Amino acid sequence: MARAMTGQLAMGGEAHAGAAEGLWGWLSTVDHKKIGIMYGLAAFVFFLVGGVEALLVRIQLAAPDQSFLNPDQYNAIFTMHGTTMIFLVVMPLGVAFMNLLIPLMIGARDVAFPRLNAFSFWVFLLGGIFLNISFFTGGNIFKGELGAPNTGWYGYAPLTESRFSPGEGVDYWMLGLQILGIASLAGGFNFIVTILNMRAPGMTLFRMPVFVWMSLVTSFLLIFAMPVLAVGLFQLTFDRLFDANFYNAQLGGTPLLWQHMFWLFGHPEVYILILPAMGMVSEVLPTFSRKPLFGYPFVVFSGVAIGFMSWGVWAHHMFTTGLGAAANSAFGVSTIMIAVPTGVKIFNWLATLWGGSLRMKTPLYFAIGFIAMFTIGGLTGVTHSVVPADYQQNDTYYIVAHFHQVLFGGALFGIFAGIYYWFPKFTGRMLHDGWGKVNFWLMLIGFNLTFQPMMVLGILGMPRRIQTYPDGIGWGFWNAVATAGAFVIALSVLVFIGNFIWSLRKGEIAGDDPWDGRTLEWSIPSPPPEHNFDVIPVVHSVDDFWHRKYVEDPRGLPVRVPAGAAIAHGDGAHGDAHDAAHGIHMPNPSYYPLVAAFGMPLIAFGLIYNYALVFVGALVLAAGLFGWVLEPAGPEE
Amino acid sequence: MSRRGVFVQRALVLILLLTTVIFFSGCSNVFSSAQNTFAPDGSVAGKQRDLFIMVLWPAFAIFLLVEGMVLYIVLRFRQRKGDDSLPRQVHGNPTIEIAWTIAPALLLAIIAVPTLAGIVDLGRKPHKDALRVDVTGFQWNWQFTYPELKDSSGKALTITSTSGPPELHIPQDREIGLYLHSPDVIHSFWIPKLAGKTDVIPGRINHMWIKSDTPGDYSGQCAEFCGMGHAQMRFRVIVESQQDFDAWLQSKGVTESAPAGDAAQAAGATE
Amino acid sequence: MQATTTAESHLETSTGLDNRKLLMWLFLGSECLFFGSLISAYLLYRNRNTVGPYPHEVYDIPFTSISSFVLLMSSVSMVLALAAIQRGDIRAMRIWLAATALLGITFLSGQAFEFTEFYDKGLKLDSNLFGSTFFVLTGFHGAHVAVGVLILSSILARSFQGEVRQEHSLAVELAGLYWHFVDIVWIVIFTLVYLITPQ
Repeated sequence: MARAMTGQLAMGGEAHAGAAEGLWGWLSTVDHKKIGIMYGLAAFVFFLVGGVEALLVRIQLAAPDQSFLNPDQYNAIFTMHGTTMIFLVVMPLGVAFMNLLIPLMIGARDVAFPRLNAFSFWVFLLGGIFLNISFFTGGNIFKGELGAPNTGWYGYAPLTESRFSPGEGVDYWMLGLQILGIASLAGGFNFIVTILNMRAPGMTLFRMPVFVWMSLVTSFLLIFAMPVLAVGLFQLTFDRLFDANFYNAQLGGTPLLWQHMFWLFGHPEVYILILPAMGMVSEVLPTFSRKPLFGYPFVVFSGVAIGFMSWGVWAHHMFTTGLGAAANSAFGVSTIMIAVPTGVKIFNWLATLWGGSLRMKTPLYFAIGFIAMFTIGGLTGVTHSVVPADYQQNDTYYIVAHFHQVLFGGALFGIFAGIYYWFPKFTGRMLHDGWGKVNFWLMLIGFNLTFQPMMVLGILGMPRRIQTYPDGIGWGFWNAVATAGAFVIALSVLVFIGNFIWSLRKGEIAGDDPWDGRTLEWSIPSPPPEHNFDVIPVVHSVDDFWHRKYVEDPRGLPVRVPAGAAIAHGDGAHGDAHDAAHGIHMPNPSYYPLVAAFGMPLIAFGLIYNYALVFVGALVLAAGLFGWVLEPAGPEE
Repeated sequence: MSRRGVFVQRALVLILLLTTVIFFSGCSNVFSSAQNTFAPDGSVAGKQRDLFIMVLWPAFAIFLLVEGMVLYIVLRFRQRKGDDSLPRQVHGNPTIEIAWTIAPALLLAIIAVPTLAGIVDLGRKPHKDALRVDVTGFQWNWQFTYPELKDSSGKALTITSTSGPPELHIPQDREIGLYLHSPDVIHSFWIPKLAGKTDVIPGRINHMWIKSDTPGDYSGQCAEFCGMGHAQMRFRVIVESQQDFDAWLQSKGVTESAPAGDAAQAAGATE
Repeated sequence: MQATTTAESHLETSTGLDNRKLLMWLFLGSECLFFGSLISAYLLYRNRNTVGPYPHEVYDIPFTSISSFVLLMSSVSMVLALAAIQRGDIRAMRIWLAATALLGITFLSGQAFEFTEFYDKGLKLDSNLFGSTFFVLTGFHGAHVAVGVLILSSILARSFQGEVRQEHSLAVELAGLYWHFVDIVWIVIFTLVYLITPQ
């Protein structure tokens, strides 16, 4: 498959003189499209890992009093499931699309800092591998001795302190998340500079596609939220490694310090997870309704509002900790109010579909599925904001249902819509639509079978994170249904993988603009040449590409302009033989980001096992950074 | 799409519908549990359930509205075969958009009122004459101490258990003031049918009040992940008539109860 | 920081700001959250120590004032270094960069000395809340100063290789932004942590 992928993508333009072929080419690439693909593939592999972890949990819980997994194993697996899905799947999938799409949508040739971009990817990949290596450090993995962290994805102190979790699992978790945090920060900086600074002439902020806006908000959330998590993790690191007292209640400290810091990060984090998917849905709906997004300014403003408001709700994760009526009231109200901008988006999306001419293709199925599922998730969120009700709901399966509703039914469905929509652009072929719909229905059925019962279970008093439950308590039936649903989801994922692999070779050839799209990425070949645009377009409006293809007659009905699509094709450049002729300078590939990235896990291993390794890692990092800084960014002048 | 594709699609839709039907026609006993928060037997849990139901109605209405719209839209506006014409390119309608920004805001503001009232009522300190119980949650069991109820040597009644969940006996129709503390990690004290949970956090003492007028044996368990034995950290609350409660106290050797007033004052720091 | 050609600077950016300058400002913005969190932890824990040593038992405010002054002056020399390269005077730039780095090293030495004094008075990372929050906060700040010194030294070294010319003033400007930020953070720390102490 790698060769098929490379083949497909290499069509878009080989290289500079001196750039490497094949695998080495991928290791040294600074091309946002290749980096985006690597992010997507890596995230998908982690998705399968996280999915298997979920299936193991569901098997254990399918009936009462089971011991398929003992408590130690169960705790490690649910911890890794959550950590993996959030940090190694949904976040990087969002970033994958940001990488693939942002330069194309704003008319740029790459991101602002291509090597920083590569660095982000390699740090993410190494961080994810580092985190998963922990499975093997607990003894004999074939005897089921798992070394993975087992204190939950949210790692509450003091359970995570050395005296309650003496093994190395938590060390892997806290250091792994720090490594991943650096990848996220680097990506956030890069995308903000790219979006603010590298737009094509005429593309004002309010002519950008909504996906770019949502990516901008997401990136700001990233660069401000990750440092808070980093501090929380550093404090835990000092507690565990050097006996500091940050979360030590015996010397006057409070575990609530961890919670405040974690959730100050954690709440913006959930918007980091959902906003890119909302952006993708905002692109898919207009294309398949064949009319513009309804209320572009409102959709943009509500995204920005969500970004700001996300900082004011964090303690709704702490309603049961005894903060007092004043705090609970303030955060209750702020949480109630954050439903408003979210609701606005739903209504605007429905209005986009209304009166349209809906082409019922797979991307639209997933986008509509997003609306349907996310609405339920959002509504359950409103029920949590009625604070006294939350005293019953918190830490139960009702919450588990809520966040899976918004993260799976929401973010993942949105991402699948994006995959089906943009796969043609980056591979030149269409994913099979019929099997896409099978994928969709199986996923929708499986998803609902798995998570709607959890709302019931939560109301019936089933807490989270319990390895088993007693016979006779009345939870067996719904747990069994949920487990069945999980396997239906697994089946739908297999269908998707089959479709993906088959379509890479045999999918219908897509052409530049298979969906009659509205935004600039559809104006260039599929897959795009390395330099993206032969001629950087001058932009005159939102949906600029659409307005070149169509003009509106006096009744507001669009009329096709002949050859309107052909603006950005110089002479259909395939291959960079044309680059020099156009005077296009693309950044040189570089191995330094990869070298520098290797320094991080080395430092982390050193902190766990042998401080000498910390120095080695620091040297590797420094060597990578110095090489990077001293290497020219563009071709020699 | 191929005929087989259409068939597969329709089959799956049918399965979805059937599943939904089976779902809702399930026997009533799949909706009952000893920890059912929607069948409360205590005043705190009752208020919490009422608030939850209060918000469920508008939530359900909006659910029907949105999902109904989705279904309608998909049926009404799907592209008809052979019709390739483009629809009117509507860009928006600021008036409507402002309306659907303000209307939900108003609805939510309304929901905020009983929410705030509930927060204050349920979060208040226990009354002065509540029966005080000090609850200690630790890895992985519970201990209940009644500081006002002492035996002949002056030792406060303390309940622990090494086999089976420990039992917290309380008299019916009387407010109970619970003071929660942990010597190790965070736990959460939860008897779903009587009251929502309050976390048990090392370094601070959290308080909650409960009251029940329905004698019974209520199931509770730890609701904050606390390590290996988290799932086993269960307890029971026995609500009984004052007579039965006094008899139980006698069987435990309790000979005196301190005046109710002192206990609440002596509750100490909440931090 | 890069002694690269300014190939990118002739490219027009949508905001008019150089990409690297915008990057530095964003980075400093995120560093505000980083130091803000560390300072918040310190402030939250200030009155919760159950055991000593306590701040007033270990602080030597006159000494710390002097090293704060040293750091403040290093920002002056940094500004002068930037002014020098902007008018093409590489030699003057080298002098002022070296001065800035030396003042930074002096500050760090002062910190190191101070830490050993505190340690001798019994304040360790694991003593109590104060030890943990103080050393982690000031330690991270010191690490940032050290990185700044490294950056300045690198520019200095490159200038001796003839690789730093007037058109590279952006690199010095960005180093300056970073340096001033670290200085401002110190002013905040000095005020909130040293000067405003509970008794």
